[in-house]
Amino acid sequence: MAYLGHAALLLALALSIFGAGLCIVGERRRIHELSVAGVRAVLGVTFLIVVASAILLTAFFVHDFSFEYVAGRSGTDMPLRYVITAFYGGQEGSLLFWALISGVLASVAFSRNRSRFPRIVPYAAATFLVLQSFFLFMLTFVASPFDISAVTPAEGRGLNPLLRDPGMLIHPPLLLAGYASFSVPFAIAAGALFSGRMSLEWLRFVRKWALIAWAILGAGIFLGGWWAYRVLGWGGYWGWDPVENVSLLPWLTATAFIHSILVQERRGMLKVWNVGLLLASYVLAIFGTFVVRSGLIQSIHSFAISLVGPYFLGFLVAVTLLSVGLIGWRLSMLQSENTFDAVLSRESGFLLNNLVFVGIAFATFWGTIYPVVSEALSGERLTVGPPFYNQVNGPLFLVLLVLMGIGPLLAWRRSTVDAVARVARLPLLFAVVTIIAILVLFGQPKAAAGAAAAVFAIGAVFVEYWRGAQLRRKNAGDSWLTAFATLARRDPRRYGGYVVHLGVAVIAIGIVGSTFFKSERQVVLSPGESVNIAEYTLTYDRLGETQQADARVVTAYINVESGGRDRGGMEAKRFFYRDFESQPTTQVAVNTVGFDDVYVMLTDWNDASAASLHIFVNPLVPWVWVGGLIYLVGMVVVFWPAPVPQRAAVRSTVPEGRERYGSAAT
Amino acid sequence: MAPRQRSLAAILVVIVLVITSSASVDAQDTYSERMLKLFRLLACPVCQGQTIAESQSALAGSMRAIVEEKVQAGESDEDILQYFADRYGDSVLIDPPKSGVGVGLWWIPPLVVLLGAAVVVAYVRERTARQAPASAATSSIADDELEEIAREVLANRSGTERASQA
Repeated sequence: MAYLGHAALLLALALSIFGAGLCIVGERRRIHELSVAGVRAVLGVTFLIVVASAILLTAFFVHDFSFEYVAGRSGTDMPLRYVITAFYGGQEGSLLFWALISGVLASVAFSRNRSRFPRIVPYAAATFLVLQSFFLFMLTFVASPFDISAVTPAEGRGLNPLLRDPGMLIHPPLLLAGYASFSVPFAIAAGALFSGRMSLEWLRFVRKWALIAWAILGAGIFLGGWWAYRVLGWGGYWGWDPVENVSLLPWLTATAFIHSILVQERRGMLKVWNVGLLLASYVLAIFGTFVVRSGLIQSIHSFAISLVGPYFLGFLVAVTLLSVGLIGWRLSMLQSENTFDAVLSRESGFLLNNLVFVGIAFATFWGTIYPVVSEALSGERLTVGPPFYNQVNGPLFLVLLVLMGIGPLLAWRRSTVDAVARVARLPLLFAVVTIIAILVLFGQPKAAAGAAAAVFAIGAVFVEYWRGAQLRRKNAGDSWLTAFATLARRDPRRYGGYVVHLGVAVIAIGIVGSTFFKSERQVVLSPGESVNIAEYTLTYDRLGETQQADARVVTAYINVESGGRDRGGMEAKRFFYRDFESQPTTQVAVNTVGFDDVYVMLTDWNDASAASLHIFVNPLVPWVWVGGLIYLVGMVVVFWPAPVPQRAAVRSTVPEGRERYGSAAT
Repeated sequence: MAPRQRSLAAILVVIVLVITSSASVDAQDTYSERMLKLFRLLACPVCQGQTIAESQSALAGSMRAIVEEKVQAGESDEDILQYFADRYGDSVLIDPPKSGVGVGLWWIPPLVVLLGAAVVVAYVRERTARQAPASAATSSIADDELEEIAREVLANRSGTERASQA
């Protein structure tokens, strides 16, 4: 079986090199059939990767410990769902997963659009196949999941206990898929640069796939926060750890891209910048993978440090050079078609937005690599922790929130301060009330500024919806409800985008609350003793010990009270997995009471059942998760298929230059 | 099993006592909030990317004890952090100094953002068409409204087209 898997990957490698060759020759010699065959090679390569993945998954299911990879990451007593986690729980499997996801996405993207973009897609496919052959090379010659061990062990070593959590079923695959999916927009952009065809149609094509990659990566990062909050037990969801930082980098540049691409679509400007952001997002995804796997920067969760680092460094350099070279070569095709009409306009708003997003990305990048830089400069390796990011990125995020509120209220081409002030009146009023209320009640200026900016942004979303709905009522005579529904249906990208803004603002409020109003205590309690924190009283009941299939579980039972009312029981657990007894994992107990999270971690205990507990009260953390759900709803609106026949009709009746006014999503 | 049963009995007794007395005496903190804050500002010198707040190593344990001692002795946060920096180097400081080799860390990002802002301003100014104010009259209708009207017209046209096709 292992040989079959290995053979499938080797064949895939050969086919992708061959396919890339077909595409290039086909395009250069104008032999249409060769190009078509080359694009089909993407499907063939993906099929072979699917076969290899199926073989590996089967080996996990039947506990075939002759596979070194399977023996190293699973055991017979492991619950079935974690067998799936084990698939991508190591270096080799995660590379295979990467190749699988990018292959599937590219197959869909290329086969559906080949006839629409007959000159771009072959070059895009060639680019993609070259990227894919790097991964296939790694999978066959450097880090093969199909290596056979000399002696087949009777029992596997089991999975890293930190990965044995339900969160691990969705967070790592989404994050990896997010990284991997950036190869599709990268290939489409490179294809357009190679072929020299960059129409407005192409812009929609590449934007759609950039949006998909951005959405997947964003969901992966978000779930990572949720997992960290529940499992790592330090009371927070984001610790500015290098591994978290590098996942944020491509997301930040991609977020900048999906905003500034609107300027190119409407006004034909910022072309170099946009294509640069897009290519940079993929380069940063590779950079992230390199940092995580090379051990260049110390992190608590580098699970997969190994020998692939140098290869990834080489790949990173190659991809960077390719990106810079392509843009430099096609610079003359990337000239602006327009100029600004006024300094204050939606366009300049987007420019500012981009400046801040890229600024945050740079600061995050700089803080992440500075330990290495400082070591080179002075021989001493500095440690860059949360205080740096809070002080540098904090103000930038605040500016971003304010821009998120003002931006949508600016008119395209030309806007005036008066016009903005007129529509922003109500949100501004709410923001001022928020500032005063927080200053009076808590005396926290930073929290007041953050919350006010978020409130302002929320207000702006409502103003935008209300303005749009009012126009529809006036022009089409719709009822309020129909008007709202029509807005989202007619222009899903814009009005779905506003829902995303709403989600971000709600998340921001949650972050402000949990950053500035957190309480914390660390205590040792004997059974029956109580501890007071914020307005809560926690009573430690007893310690219990149970045995489950693959682990011994120690549980502290705690009861929460506030305002004279019983708020229910909590169970803070530690798991001692077989063969990993020295590194017990945590399951934090979280009890959400109203807007507060009461959060308890069991740190230690003794024979007399006295337990050492680390207790946090994290206000507004539930808002972060609710904001995430709103964000998802926004994504659904954005991706909801637009009414197709109407859109097609519009396109056919609009003359070339005017096409920009039909802004239905593709 | 006997000790466990005995401790269970003890627990029951305590629970009964607590319920009957219903007095909730507040527990003694292992570490004060200030100590916990300081723990999070000190990297464990022998661990991978952990602070002494979460590290289980012996060194982290003794560092926690020193922090506790110094806080109780009334030393300031700066003095305590400096004590560890003197012994283990600046690399133990999670919040690196803004002087020395830390200058590049703290000052380059703001500089880059300011430089970027200057470039954006210069770009917008250079690319702004110098129009006479009179020609700005068209913008008295908000762009959004124009867009909406355009869309209405187009939708109606395509609607009639479809009607005529049918």
